[in-house]
Amino acid sequence: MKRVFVFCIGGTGLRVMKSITMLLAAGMDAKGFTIVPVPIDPHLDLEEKRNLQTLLGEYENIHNSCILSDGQRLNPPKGFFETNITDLKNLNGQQNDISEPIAEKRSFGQYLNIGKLNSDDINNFLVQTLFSQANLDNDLSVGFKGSPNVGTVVLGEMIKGADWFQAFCNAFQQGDRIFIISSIFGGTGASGFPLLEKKVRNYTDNTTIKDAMMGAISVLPYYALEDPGITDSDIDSANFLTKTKSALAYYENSIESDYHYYVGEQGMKVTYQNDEKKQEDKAHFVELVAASALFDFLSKSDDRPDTRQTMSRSIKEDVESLSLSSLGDAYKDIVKALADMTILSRIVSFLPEETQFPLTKNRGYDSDFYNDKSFVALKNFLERFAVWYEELASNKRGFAPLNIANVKVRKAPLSNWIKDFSLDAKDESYYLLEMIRASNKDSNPSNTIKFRSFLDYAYKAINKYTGKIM
Amino acid sequence: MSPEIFFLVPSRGKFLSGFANENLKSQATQVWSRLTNYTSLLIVVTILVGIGLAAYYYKPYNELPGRHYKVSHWGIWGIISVLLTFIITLLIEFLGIHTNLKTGIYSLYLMTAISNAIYCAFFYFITSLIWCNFLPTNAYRFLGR
Repeated sequence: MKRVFVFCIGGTGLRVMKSITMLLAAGMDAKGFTIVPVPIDPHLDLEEKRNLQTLLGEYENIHNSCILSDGQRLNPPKGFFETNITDLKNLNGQQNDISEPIAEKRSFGQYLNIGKLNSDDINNFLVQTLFSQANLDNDLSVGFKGSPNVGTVVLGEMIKGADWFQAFCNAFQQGDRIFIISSIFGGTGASGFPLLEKKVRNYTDNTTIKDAMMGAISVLPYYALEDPGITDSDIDSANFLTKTKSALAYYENSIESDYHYYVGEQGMKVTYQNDEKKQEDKAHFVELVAASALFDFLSKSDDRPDTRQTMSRSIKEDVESLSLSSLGDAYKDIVKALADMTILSRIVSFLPEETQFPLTKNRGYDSDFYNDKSFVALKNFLERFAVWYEELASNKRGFAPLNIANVKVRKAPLSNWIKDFSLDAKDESYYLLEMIRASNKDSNPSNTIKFRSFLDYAYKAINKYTGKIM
Repeated sequence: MSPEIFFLVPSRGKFLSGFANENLKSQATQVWSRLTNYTSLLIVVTILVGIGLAAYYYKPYNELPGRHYKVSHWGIWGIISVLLTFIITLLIEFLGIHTNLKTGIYSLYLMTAISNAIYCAFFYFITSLIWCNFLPTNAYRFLGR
């Protein structure tokens, strides 16, 4: 089975991986690849990192609930949670967690050991030329604070000999691919991406890795931060564009990825709180677009292109809140995926209270089923999805292609679930009928696993109506 | 087939004993005779309506959205089948049997119609029982095992 190792560098990398996870949960097609996320962020105690790992764990549990039966691994049903997501630890059959690749609890100055330099050592002057005192005082436990000049030094050493990189090399096989997600305006991403790329392309111990198909997404500035003077932060978003230009100049002739994607936001930037420790940034449309780059990369053939392909994507209309008509046809798959997942969420919320539903008898969807850990895990995941979508919709620029009817209003019309598109399913009963039909047609012996069959029928039911958008 | 097949209908003798003079008795005999001719048709109607509407409920009706699988919908179609049989039976009786008798026959017609409607309910129920246990449907198999 072919895998794609997704290196998520820095905070942007983590947030894009979150969007990827949500899209995979919604059934976006990963072309049969198993996704292996490798988060790389030196920022200790970043809640975002913990949340991502929790999310990935929940995804894996739900996916496994669909495919594991009496010790056997079945093929997953098409649609929701179809794609396998695993980690380096599982691939290498290891017990110890190797997903925490890097961490530094010192200042940058301590890391460089400049205290050991004699006062007349010429290296002192070199250090003073390359780095400001603020750089040297940087606490590395919160990352590189938008300073790629710091990140380049630290990450290079961190990657060299890192357990996770060795684990990656051990697991990599012919046919596997590599995808790197990073921002171009921060500290970790801007420095980590070219370092990691070089490490891969110069890995002479294994030509399979050296010559692997590689893609990357570089995220240009898409948000601003509050004036650093207010929070006494070292990160100044006024420098983002300058750093971006410098990085782009470097990338022009040095990037070695086969497919290089760019995405950013020129006009409508939201301003986040400038808190180095928390970095509580809400989900953003640009992260979602960056996530879509992975799916585009996976759709490419196995033959590496002769020259590097550079790609970006745009929207049809420059509006504050995007819907299908202002996004353009190229976003139909993303809108469909989100519509599918939100409709699933509605079904999951009301179905336990649905009386005389035929599948209660025919398939055993009774109170035990709805209280089982698989179903509860699904509900929890869908709640996270709802929060994530709400963040996308309310952010600036907003991504809000759906009219999500209040689940308490049971007779709410649902034909306008997708803005600018009319679904034939007028209400809940349309989806329920299709679930019943799917069950009646099903002769698949694997679908004796109730949870698996539930997701299978739900997807078929929803896809019958939302599939027309494609 | 005799109208006595309808369990609420009195026997021929008891029906005719309700008419005092020979002329009325003769007309009543003709009514009974015509009803006898229509009895088979009435039974066919009840079977067709009972089985037909049950089949309609379990197949085409449950191929439409609207939560038709619920027992309340089954119940509504049961009531429709009963009422339909009742009305059709009365129509056949009033339109098919020509008589100058003004009294004494309406209770016969009514008992025939009510009996036929109950038989229809029976066929509706039996068809539903068979369908819930053996035949494909999108409806809730509340009569199934």
